[in-house]
Amino acid sequence: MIIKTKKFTRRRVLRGMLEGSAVAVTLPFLDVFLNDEGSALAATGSPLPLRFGTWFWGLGMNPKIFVPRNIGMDFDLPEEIAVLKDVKKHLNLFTNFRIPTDNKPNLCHYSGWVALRSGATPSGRRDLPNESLDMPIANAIGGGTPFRMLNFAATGNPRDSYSFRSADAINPPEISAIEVYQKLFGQEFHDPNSSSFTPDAAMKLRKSVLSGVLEDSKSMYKTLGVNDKARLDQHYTALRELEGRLELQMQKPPPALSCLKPSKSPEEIQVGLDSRSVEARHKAMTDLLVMALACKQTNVFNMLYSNSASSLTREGLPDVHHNITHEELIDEVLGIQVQSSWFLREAFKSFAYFVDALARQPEGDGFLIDNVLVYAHSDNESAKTHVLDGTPMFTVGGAGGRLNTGLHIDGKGDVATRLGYTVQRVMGLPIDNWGSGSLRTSREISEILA
Amino acid sequence: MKLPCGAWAGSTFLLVSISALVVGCTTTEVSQVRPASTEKIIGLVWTLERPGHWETPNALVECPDGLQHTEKDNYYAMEKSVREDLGNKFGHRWFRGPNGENSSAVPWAIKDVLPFKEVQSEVSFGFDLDGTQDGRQTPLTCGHQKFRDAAGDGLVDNQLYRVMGCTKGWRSTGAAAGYRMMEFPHYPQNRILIEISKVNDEMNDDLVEVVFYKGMDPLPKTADGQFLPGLSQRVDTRNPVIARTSGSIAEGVLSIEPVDLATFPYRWNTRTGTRDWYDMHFTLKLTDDGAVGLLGGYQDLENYWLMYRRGLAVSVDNSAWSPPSMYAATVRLADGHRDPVTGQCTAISSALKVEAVRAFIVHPPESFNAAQFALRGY
Amino acid sequence: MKFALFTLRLTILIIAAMVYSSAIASTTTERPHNEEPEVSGASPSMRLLSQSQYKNSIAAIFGPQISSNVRFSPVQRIGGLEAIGARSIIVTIGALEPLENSARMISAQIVSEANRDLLIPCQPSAAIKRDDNCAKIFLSRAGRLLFRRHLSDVELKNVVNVAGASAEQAGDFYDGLSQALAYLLISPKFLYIQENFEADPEQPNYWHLDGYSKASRLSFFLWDAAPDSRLLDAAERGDLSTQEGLHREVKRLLASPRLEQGVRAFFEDMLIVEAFDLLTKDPIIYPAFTSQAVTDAREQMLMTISDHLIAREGDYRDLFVTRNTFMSRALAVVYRVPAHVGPVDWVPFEFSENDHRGGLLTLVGFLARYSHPGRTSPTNRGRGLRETLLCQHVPDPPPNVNFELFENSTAERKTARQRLEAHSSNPICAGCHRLTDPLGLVLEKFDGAGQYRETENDAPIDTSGSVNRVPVSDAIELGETLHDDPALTSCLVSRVYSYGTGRELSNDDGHLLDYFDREFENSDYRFVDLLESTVTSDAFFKVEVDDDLLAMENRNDYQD
Repeated sequence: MIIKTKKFTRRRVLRGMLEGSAVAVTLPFLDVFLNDEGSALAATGSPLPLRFGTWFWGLGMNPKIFVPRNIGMDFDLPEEIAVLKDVKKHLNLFTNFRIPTDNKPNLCHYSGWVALRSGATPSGRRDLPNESLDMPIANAIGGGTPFRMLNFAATGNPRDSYSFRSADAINPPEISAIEVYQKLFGQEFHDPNSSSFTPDAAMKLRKSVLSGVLEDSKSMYKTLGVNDKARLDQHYTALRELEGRLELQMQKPPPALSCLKPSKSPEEIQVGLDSRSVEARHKAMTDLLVMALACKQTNVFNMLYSNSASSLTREGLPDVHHNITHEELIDEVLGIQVQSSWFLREAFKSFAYFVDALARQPEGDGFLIDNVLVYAHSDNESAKTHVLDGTPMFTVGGAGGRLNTGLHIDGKGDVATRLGYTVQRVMGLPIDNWGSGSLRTSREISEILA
Repeated sequence: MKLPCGAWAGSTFLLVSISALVVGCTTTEVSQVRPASTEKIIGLVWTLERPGHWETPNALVECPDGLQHTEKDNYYAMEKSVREDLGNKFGHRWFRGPNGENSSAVPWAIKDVLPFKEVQSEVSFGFDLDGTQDGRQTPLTCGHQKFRDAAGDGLVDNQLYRVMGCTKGWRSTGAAAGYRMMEFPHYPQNRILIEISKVNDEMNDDLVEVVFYKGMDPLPKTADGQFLPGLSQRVDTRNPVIARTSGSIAEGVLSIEPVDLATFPYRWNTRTGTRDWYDMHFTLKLTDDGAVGLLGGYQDLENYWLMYRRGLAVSVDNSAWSPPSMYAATVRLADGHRDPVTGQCTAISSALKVEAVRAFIVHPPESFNAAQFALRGY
Repeated sequence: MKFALFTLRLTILIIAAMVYSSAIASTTTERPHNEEPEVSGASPSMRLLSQSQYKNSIAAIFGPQISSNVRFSPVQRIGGLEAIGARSIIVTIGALEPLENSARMISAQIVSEANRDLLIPCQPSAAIKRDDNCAKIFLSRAGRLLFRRHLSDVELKNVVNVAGASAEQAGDFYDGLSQALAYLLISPKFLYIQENFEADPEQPNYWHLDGYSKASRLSFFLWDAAPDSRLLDAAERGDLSTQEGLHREVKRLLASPRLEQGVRAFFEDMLIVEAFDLLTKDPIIYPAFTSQAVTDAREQMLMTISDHLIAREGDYRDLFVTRNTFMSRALAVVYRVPAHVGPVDWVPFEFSENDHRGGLLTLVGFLARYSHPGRTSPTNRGRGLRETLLCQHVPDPPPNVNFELFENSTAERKTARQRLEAHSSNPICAGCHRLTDPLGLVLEKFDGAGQYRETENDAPIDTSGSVNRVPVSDAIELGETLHDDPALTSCLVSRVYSYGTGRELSNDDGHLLDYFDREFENSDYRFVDLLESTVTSDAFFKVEVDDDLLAMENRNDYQD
C-alpha cells in the first residue's frame, strides 16, 4: 500500500514506517532514485517515469498584490494569485531572486527568460548563449518515448518557443490543438493498454528510408565549410532521433494504465491573441498534454501561455497587454494597474487549470502530478519598468517525492539560476554548477528538497 | 531682303504660340466649374423580416380563447372510425386529403372539425389600404373589420394578422417566425436592396425616388451578431426591378407612392418562388446605420398559398397550425382585389416589419455582360 | 528698317529653334557610364528551403493537384530578411517531423491511381513486383528536378534500390516507388540548397558558383522555386557561364508568369508579411475588420505590388503614390467604397481623385498591420516604414523608460498626436521618436483598422509631419515625398541583392550597391530591370573561397 502523501523522505522510507503504516515499497524505490532513467516504481511494478516541463507567462506580476507576506509553508495568497487556492499545495513559489546581467544591457522581454532558461544573459537580441535547460534533461530522460519533447504555444504563434539549442535551433512549438491531437492520438497512436499490437509495416519502410537517407547524404560533407558541417550534423541527429522514434513505434508500447485516448479531436479555436482564445487553446493543449504524459508519449514538455512581451488582447480594449503595462496609470485607490492585473490573473487562472489537470490525472496509486516537475516562470517582475530582479518563479509537482511542495521561498536577493540549477539536479543531471557570469551558482535551494 | 508676309506671320505665330506655351505651363490650370451636386443616394439592404403582428404576452388580449387548434387537434377531433379508416388507407395523420394527400397540399378539400380562432385584438400594425373608415365593401374590396393603428392614429387593414395572429408558430417566439428570421438574411434569393435616390435632405425631402432591387450577395454579421453596415451589395440584373416609385421623407421617415404590383423574389423554407404584393405601401425610419419600418399591402392569395403550402408542409406540427382551417379563414377574411363575377376577394391585406442596414448598392459596370453572367456567373 | 525687321524675325526664329532643340535634347541625355566595381563575393552557402520554395517546387515538378500542406518552422530574420536566416538555420527534430510527414503524403499522392499515369512515364512489368528499369527512368528524372542536378551513379543506384527493396517488402511497385520518392523528399540534398563553386576560367584566383548552383540561385530568386528542366539543361551545357547564355535564360525567367511568385516571395520577406498570420483587431471597436479582411488586406498589398511592378512595368517609387489597386468585398467595407465584386473575388480598383488614399502606405495592409488591436500607433507605423522600406534602423526603447508621461486619452489628450507629445518634448525620447512619429502622425486620419476618419474623440486630426525634415501635410504628400527620397530605392536595391545572394551586406559592398543604384535609376526604376541587372552582374555568382574550403576535396559526387 502506498500512502498518498508527498512527505516521503529517505529517512522515513529506510525506517520502513510512514505515519504508522507499513510502506509497501522501500529499498527498490531508493535504487530507482539513483538509476539512469530516474523513474519511480508503482505498486503495479511498472515504472512511473519522472517528467519535466516548463510553463511560461509574460509580463511578470504586480508585487503589491502578488508577493505573499508569509514565507515557508501555509503562505497567504494575495489577490493576484488568489485563483491558485486549490492548487497551492502542489506549488512552490519563489520571489525576491535576482537576475544580474553583468555589463550586458537589460534587453526588455528577452534577457529575463533567456537567463532563466539558459543560465546566461544575452548580449544582443538574437543571442542565445547556451542551450535551454530542458535540452540536457530531455537527453537524460527523453529516451524511450516516441517524442523526445513536446512544445506548445497557447498563443498560436510559431515563433513563441523558449526551448532551444541555439539561436538557429529553436524547437518549434505546436500551435494548433487539432494538430496536436492528430499528432498524438491520430493514426499512429497505439493504445498501450490494448492486449494486441500489430506493428505497422509502414514504419519499417519509413525507417529504412531514413537510414538510407542518412547513409546517402554523408557525401555532402565533402564540400561543406565548418559551420555548414555542424548544421548538417544537427540535421543528422534529428534524422536519427526520428529513426529512433519509428523503431520505438514498431514495438509494443509499455502499459500505461491511466492512458485513455481522448474520444474526439478538440474544437477549432479562433486564431488570434484574444485572451479567451489563448485560454481555450491553453486548455485544449493542456488536456492533450496531460493525456500524452499519462500515455507515456513524452517525458519532457514546454508550455507557453503568453510570450514575454505578451500581445494578448481583451475584447473592448484598444491596446495589447504589453502596452497597457506601460501606459496604464496606477489606480489611486487600489495602488495597482487594474487592467494589467486582469491579464495576469487570467494567466494564473490558466496556470491553476494546468496544475489541476496534472493533479486530477490518476497515475499508479496516486496522480500524475506526483511524478512531475514543472519549472514555471515569467520574464520580469514588474513589466512596467522591466525590472528583472524579483522575477517570479514556481515549481509544480512532487518530482517523484524528491520535492517538498506548498512553500513560499524568499530568495533574499540570491541569483535566480539557483532554481534552474536545483531543478536540473533533481531531474538527475550530474552537474555541479550552472550559469555563467554572476548567474553562475552551485547552490541548490535546499528548502524544497525532500 | 524682304521675307514673304507668310513667313513673318509664321514666325510671329511661332513666337506667340511659344509664349503661350510658356505662359500656359506656368499658370495654374483653370478647372471647369460645375455646380456641386447636393443629391445623394441612400442604399439599404433589408436584413430582417417579421410578421406585422401586434402581440401581448401569452396572447391574452388578442387570443382570449387560446391559441389556434393544431392539425393534431383536428385529427383527433375526428370520429375514431374515420381516423382509423384514414390511418389504414394512408398512414400518417397528415395524409387527410380525399386521396390521402398531405393536408397542406389540398387544404381546400378538407374540412376541419374544430373552430378557427381569429385574432380578437382591435389594434394592429399595417396600412390603410381601402381608404374606408369602417372596412365596408367597395367595388374593389370586401367587407371586413379594420384595426386601430398600433403605430399611430388612424385605422389599418391587416386581415392576414387576423388569420395568423393566434398561430403559435407565427408569434414572434414561434418556430415559423424564428425560422423565417434566420432564413431571410441567409440566402441571396431573399436579398432585397432599397435605393433611395435624389435625396437632398435625409430628414425632410419632398421628392425622392425609391427603387427595390434584388441583390445577390451574402450578409455577414459582426462578432456580436449585428449586421455590418457599409457592405457593397450588387444588384442582380438577372431579376427585373422589383418596384420603382416616388417617395418623400418627413422628419426622417420615408413613405412611398404605393406600387400597383411588386413581385419580390422569395425563398421560404427551402422553396423558391415569389411574393406578390398589390398596392404595396412602405414606411421607413432612417437611422445612422440603417432603418426600421413597415411594408404592407395586399398579398395575392393564390401566390401566398402556393408558397405557404410548399414552404410549411413539414412544419404543421412545430408551428402549430392546421392547413384546412387556415385556408378557409384566408378565403373568408380576404379583403382585396375583389373578383367582380364571384365576389370573392383574391388578395389579403397584411404587413411586414422591416429592418435594414446601410449599404452601397452597386450596379454592374459598363463592361458587365449580363448574358454571360446569367450563363456563367461572372 | 527692313534690316532691323529682318534681324528681329531671325532672332525670334533662332530663339524658337533653340528652345525647341533644348526641349528635344533633354529627353535624350546621354546616360552616365556605369561600370560595375569588383567585389570579392561571399562564401558558398547551404540554405534551407523556405516553405514557399518547397511548395512551389513540388507544384512545378509534379503539378498543382499535388497538395503539400506543410508548415515550416520559423527562420531567424537576419539583416531584415529570412532569406539570410535560411543560411544558418538548424533543423531540429521538431522541424524535421512535419517534413517527413509531408514527404510521405506527397509521395503517396504522386503514385496514387489518379496521378500515376500522368506523372510516371513508364509502367512496371508487373505491378506487384519490383521493376528497377521503370523505377530508374522515373527516379532519375524526378531526382534531377528535386536535387536540382543530375544524380550520380551511386545516388541513382541507392534510390532505385530503395524503390526495389520496398516494392518487394510491400508487394507493390508503386508503394516501393512512393518510398523512393519520400527518400528523395526527406534527403538533405533536396531540403538544402547547397552551393558549389568552380574556378572562374577568365579570372584566375576568382571563383564563382558552378552551373547547377547558378541555376538554383537564379531560379529560387526569380521564381521562388527549384530550377526547371530547361534551366538545368542550360546549366549542363555550360550556357550559364557565357554572357549570352546567361542573358537568354534570365530573360526567359523574367518573361515567365512564374516571375510573380518570385516577386511576391521577395516582398513577403522584405515587408515581413508573416505578421498578418496573427493580426486581429478588436471586434467591438472595428467590427468591419473581419478575419477575411486580414487575409484580403495581405493579398491586396501583394497584388498591388506585383501588378504595378510586373504587369504595368511601373516605376518602383510610384508604388507610394499610385491610386491603382484591387478590391474585394471584405475590404470594400473597410475602405467604405462600393465595389462590384462577388463574395470571394477581386476587381481592379482605382481610388478617386478626391479620395485621401494613394500609394502603399494608405492601404489597409500597411495601416492596420502597424496598429494596435483597437487604436493606431504612429510610432509603429513610422518604425515599420523606416525599417522595412527605407532600411533604416530604429533603436529599441530603453528598459527604464517612464511611460507615465504618456497617458491614455483624457480630456486634454484626445488625439494620438496630443498623447505622443511627450515623445517630442522630452529630449530623451525625442532622439529616436523623431525618426518615427513625424512619419506615423501623417497617417493618423486612418484609424487602427485603416478606415478613414476626420476626428478622434471628436477632436480634429492634424496630419502634418515631416520626412527627414521635409514637411508634409497629408498621406498623399507623404507618398510623394517618399517617392523622391533616395533611401527608398537604395533600400530596395540592397534588399534585392541581399535576398538574391542570401547574405548580409558589408561595407565592402558599398560601391557595388551604388552601381546597382545607378542601374536602377537608368532603367527608370523598373523593378524587373533591377532584377536583371542584379542577376547578370559579375558579383552575383561570385564566391569567396577560404583556404580550408579549397584544401578539401571539393568535388561533389555529381561533379565526377
